Amino acid sequence: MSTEFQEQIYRHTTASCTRSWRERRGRYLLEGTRCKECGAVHFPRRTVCSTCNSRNLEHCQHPATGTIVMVNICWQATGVHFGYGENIPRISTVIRLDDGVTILAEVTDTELDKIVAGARVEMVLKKLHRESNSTWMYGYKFVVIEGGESGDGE
Amino acid sequence: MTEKLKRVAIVGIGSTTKPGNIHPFLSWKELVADAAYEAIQDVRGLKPRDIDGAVIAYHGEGVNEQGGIGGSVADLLGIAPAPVFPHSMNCSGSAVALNTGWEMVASGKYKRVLVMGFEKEGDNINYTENINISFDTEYDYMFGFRHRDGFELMSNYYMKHYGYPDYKSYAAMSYAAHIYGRMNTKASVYGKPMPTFESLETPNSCFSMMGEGAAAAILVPEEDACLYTDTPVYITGISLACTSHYIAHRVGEEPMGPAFPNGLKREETYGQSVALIEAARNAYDMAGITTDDIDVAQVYDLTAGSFWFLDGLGITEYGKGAQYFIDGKAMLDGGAIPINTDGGNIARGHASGADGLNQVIENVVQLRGAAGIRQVKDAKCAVAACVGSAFAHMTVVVMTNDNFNR
Repeated sequence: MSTEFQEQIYRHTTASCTRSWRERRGRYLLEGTRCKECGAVHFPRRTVCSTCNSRNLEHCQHPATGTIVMVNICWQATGVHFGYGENIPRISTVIRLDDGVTILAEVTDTELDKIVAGARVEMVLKKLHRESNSTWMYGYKFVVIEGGESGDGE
Repeated sequence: MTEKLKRVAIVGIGSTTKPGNIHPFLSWKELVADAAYEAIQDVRGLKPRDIDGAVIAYHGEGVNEQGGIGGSVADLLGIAPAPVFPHSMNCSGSAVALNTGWEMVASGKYKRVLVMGFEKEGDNINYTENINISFDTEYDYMFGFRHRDGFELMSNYYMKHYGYPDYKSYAAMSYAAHIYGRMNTKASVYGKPMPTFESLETPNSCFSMMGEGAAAAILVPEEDACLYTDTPVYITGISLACTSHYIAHRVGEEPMGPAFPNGLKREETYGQSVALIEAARNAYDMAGITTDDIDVAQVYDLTAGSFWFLDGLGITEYGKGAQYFIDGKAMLDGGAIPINTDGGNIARGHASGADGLNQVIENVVQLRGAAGIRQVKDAKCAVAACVGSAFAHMTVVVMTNDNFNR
């Protein structure tokens, strides 16, 4: 479980700091977009509305709470180059935030048997890995705040 | 639309052996040349300089750390100044390249087109990296997710939603692949001892055997095919459907991708690929076939991948794909459509940039009647379906031979 950060192997594909900085509001604040024409909300942020093709979008901050829809717990070391090599198991979930958008995220600081579809989760900010200028990238992960049933999630 | 286009025939095929192994002594250029020249020699009377257009696919630039490889390929094959169009569409890349090759011939502009795909992941410093980049990158790769996570998320949902409590279906799928792989001299498992069924009842038995290799095919217009071969195989239906790379966009979110196809419930999109269903419908319509016409199918087997493919291609009802393998219907004597007769990713091996073409090549071998002990009797119509990333871009190719009557 990724409760700690790890050193990664340095190489030229380390996350570009400019590129990471550009997406900081999405990573820190769950900021996506809302369509001013049809009201659809998106995460990650979009430049074209995927529902009505409008380009008239505004920033919107998504709620920091949601429900787990899909879960995977992987015991094999991968993502080694990004410092995730010793962070096993790798936990990936799809979470439906309370305004309806779905997001791919990691669940952390939670006992494994509580990471099930239907569990209520809340966002936390975590240290991820280094960027190309050796500063640290931070971003969202989630913790389970209320147990769920092991069902289909919705 | 299709009336004005030329029909396209595959007249030559070539591929490197053991696509599930790393080949440290060979460069990507050697792999590509081996496959391309095997395909050229497979065509009666064709010389390399006769090629007037080519397409090449690789998983992504990360594979050989080189972009814009069209010029390099024309040079290494000695076919310059023929145009070489590059594609980087992940695992479906070479099937997308076939799509482009088909268009080049169907339009009438090119007469002899060489389509290729290759994989050289061992040259990457960390070879999982090129797998990671088959993703939307900003909000998934940067968070340490891999496209395998996408597959596993969807697999877990599929198994739970459709009521498969254990890994018996994985074992059945993997066991079938291992049996077929031992009948295919080019497969990575060929000549290796057969695993027991029990040893495959794990979540890991259904992972692709990752490796390196190349594959190639030669396309010509139908009217020229008799010049080059006695056993032409025709591309009668071909399609590509694209949707979001970001896995969370595809869980029942209406705006993404095509509208829900008939009979698919919203919640089922968590564990089914809408893009695949759309691609299959598109290719079947173009070929004028239904699933009843299919004699053999090659699908992309990774985790529960084969199950989605059987569902999406209409071979089984939604949710019954896993049962198809448990019932043994994927085998030659299963009384249904044999699946992955070359061993698939699990046993043939998965050289991702060449994977789409390896499927097509197996179908060509089957439709030529040259598959030996793994020959599907009277095969006339074959389907190959491939996935890029975690179901972001889906290809379906329908092939027929001279015995197929529409």
